[in-house]
Amino acid sequence: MDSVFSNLALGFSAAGTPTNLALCFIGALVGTLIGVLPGLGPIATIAILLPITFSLDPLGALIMLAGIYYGAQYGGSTTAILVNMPGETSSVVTTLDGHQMARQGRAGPALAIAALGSFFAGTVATFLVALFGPILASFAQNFGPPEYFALMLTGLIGAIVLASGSVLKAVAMVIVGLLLGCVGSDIETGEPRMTFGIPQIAEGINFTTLAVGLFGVAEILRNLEKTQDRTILGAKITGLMPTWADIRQSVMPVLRGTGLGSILGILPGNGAVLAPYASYTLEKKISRTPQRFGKGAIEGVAGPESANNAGAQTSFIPLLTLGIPPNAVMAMMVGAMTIQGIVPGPTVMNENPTLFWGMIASMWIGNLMLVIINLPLVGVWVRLLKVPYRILFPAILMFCCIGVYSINSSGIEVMLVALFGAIGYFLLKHGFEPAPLLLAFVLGPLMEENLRRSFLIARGDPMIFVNRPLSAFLLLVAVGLLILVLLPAIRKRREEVFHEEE
Amino acid sequence: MRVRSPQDLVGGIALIALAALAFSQIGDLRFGTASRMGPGYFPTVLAGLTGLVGLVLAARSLVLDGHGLESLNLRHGLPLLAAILVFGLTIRPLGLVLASALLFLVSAFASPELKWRETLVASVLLIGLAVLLFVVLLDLPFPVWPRM
Repeated sequence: MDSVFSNLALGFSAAGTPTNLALCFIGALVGTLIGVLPGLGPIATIAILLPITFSLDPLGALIMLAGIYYGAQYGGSTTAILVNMPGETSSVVTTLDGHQMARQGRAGPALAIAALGSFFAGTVATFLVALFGPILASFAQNFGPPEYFALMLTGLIGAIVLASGSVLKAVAMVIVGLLLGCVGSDIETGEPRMTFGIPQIAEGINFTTLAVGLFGVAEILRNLEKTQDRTILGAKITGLMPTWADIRQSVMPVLRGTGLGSILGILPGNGAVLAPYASYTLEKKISRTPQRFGKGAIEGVAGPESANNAGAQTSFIPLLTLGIPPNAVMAMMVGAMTIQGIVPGPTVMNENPTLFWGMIASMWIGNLMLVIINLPLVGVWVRLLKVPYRILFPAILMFCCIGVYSINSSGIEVMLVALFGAIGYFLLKHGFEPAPLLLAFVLGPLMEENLRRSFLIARGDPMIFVNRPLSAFLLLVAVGLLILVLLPAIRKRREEVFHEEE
Repeated sequence: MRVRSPQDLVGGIALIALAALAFSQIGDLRFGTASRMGPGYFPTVLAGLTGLVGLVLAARSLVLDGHGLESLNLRHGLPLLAAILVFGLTIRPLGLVLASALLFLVSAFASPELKWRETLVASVLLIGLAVLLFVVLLDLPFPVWPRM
């Protein structure tokens, strides 16, 4: 326990430098901005802003990128409440009761509870990361190649289970992502693989190029075909502060949401996505007045918002301790770390404690900043929503192009963005979800390396994955997840959950 | 035979095509053995799986009902993709300012409602912002103007 506090103290002193505070602020602000704006998710934004972080030191870069991620979660709930339009998928549930509250003239308390609940959840989750991070990391020191392979396989299967839409199509996306990850020179022999003779991809497809195309450009294409109708509540938001009754009603949902979100966030395969749904379902089920839900029940805002933020924070745990990203956003963080010359994994904590603890401390600082900047700035965000998309999309497009160009000063890579954008649009149009693809793309080379090593150790005997208890356990989890998703009852339920999302 | 899910059929065919493309590129990369995998091992297995999933998806589209095809939005899509290509082609010879200006010009044709004056003002402001951010503040090695 003592070491947790001394470590956190180290972290706060690292994250508390003026530069890092400023970067944290910028990240949280930019994140809120993109969370508010529809059609630009955290994955695309981190991809676009990645080049900017080249000139920063590793800690500063990661602090800013993490800020974008949780900032986006906050921003998404603001638009969910005020405009009935979730800025991010994670805030879909908030529209149900949050927007109803806004219609009843209680937008202020809804926003305040969302922010305070998130802040509380963020605080608890930060502490959990600090507490369990070291334990998990020292545990992971014993991982060999078979364990890592099994863990990544479980993560990808988790991503399939939690993807919306057809299971088979999610499987396809994971396989295609792994296949794309193979492009480039072979890790052992250096032979070029599937490079089509293009020198710009001789070292592999740049994952920024892929992410900007699949998420940035494809999203613009999809947004352009939707007719824009945004009904913004024109009325002034009065009385930001919730009443005592509001707070009393919210305390337990916030606590339960925090617990649920923290657990789901650690799960491989983007469990954080489920957190708000799980919390909403739970609150509605145990409420004495379930009929109030959907009509402006404050519990329906407090629980999911806390769960959402807790999940967002704890999803850093697998990344920081095992070096395995649990979702596509964390996959982007892996990219950012690699560019900075840091190999994510259990060694980061020992070799680079300032980085590890600084980042954890910055999450708490960032959450505090969000509470402070988000509530007074609500008016600004609402006005931003009135900027027409015909002005926004060329601006987003320009930043996409400049961002990709600045990585390698290569015009060809910019043109590849157009290709991946077209592919991403094709995927969206045919019911394929691109997030598992990106995750698999990042994990692919790691999986291949660990598979090769495992087989080398075992002289080609696949039983090595079953004979080692830990990898056997992980594979069992993977099989369990697969069975779960194929069971008819669960399958139906899964479709319902994701149907609400649409 | 009736196609019950055109969306899945097209998706399946696309996966099969991708697998074929991958196989053509894998060519004679050494496959190796399980204990000593060659560079071709992982890609071959994955390309095979891609084709297999594609086949299953396409076959399933004849049996299970699913979504119809959504129309592709070429009216907005083509100018948008063209704008990216133009930027990629012109950034090196023409520099950041002119390449971005061309990007705004071409992408304007993708706009749902075009207002030239507004586009002009917005692009001048945004290009200025980009130069300030990337060249002045971040000091990235960008060609700003055409090389003489």
